[in-house]
Amino acid sequence: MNNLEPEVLNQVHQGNQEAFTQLVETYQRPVYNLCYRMLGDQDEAEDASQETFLRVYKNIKHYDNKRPFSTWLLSIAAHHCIDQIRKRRMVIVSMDALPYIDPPDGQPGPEASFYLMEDQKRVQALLKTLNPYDRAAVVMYYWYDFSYEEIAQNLSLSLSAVKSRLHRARLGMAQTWSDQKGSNFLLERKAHESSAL
Amino acid sequence: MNHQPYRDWLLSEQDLTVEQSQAMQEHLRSCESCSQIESAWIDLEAVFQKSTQVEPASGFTERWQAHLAEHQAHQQKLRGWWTISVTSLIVTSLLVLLIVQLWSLLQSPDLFWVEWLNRVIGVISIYYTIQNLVSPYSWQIPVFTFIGIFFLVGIISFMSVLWLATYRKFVMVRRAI
Repeated sequence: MNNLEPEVLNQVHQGNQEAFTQLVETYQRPVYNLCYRMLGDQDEAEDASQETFLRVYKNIKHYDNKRPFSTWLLSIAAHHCIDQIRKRRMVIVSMDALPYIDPPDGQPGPEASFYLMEDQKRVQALLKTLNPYDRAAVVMYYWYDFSYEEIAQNLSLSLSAVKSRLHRARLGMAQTWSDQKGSNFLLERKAHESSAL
Repeated sequence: MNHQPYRDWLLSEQDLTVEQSQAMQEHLRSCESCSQIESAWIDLEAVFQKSTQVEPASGFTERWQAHLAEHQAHQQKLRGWWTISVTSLIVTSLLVLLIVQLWSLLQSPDLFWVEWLNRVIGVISIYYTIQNLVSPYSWQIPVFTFIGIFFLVGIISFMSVLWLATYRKFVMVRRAI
């Protein structure tokens, strides 16, 4: 993750708006990614990211310099997303609207990209099956390489709670993934059988 | 069959001992369910590793600036309404007090003047009490000077409060720019 120069951070602390714009420029992608992974919807992720930066702008005085800025920022984003998920009356799983996802370096042709996109859709659908805190823990662990301690600090959970939440989430996702693979296999077999007839 | 320890080992990132590893391999050979979980988790981890960060639509910073400007305008509006409400409340309270005073003046003017005269006498008697207290130090000030100081202190206090309020307002505006 890109880090902001301490000098810029000091200026942000002093209320310099240009420095804050630079901060938004630097952290827009990790914040948006976290919101998207948590909420699973582009528009909601955009709103949540904007709201996160607004909260940071209003609370920058409370930021403790001893703590890495990026973890503080992402913790605000995660908590906001958790609140948003809790506020929802019903969960609508939309697999169609997907934003642009950077292909990894050296990515081969369109077929591989297609499979990658399909996998991303499935991962996004899997994340939606998790409860908000488990989801936040998974996103922080796999997309931001946060340690268990950092996750615990950011989500105001105990270390053992983070470990058990991650374990539960992994098991749940693996079971769902396995079930999906099984049903896909059956569908493919049916398709082959009907074409053979 | 108890799957729990094997699933814990499968999904945790702890290093297994040789014995644990052997026990798990043995269990996986005989348990289809755990074997499927293992295979699914390997797939899923690979997908996680391939996952990259999703980017917002271009122009995010510009939208943020617009959002901030909108928020600041809203806040300013709220502050304006708050000031108007507080001022209205104060003015209304003062008006009510004035009406009560005027009402008592209209009802019984004599009583009203007597009451005010009492108040003035009260202030003067406070002055003489203070003067008696400090007279051993041969410090005397005329009654009008005392009343003048009384009002001067009042005005200075009011102006200080006004200055503080104005200063705070300007500092907040500068921070927002």
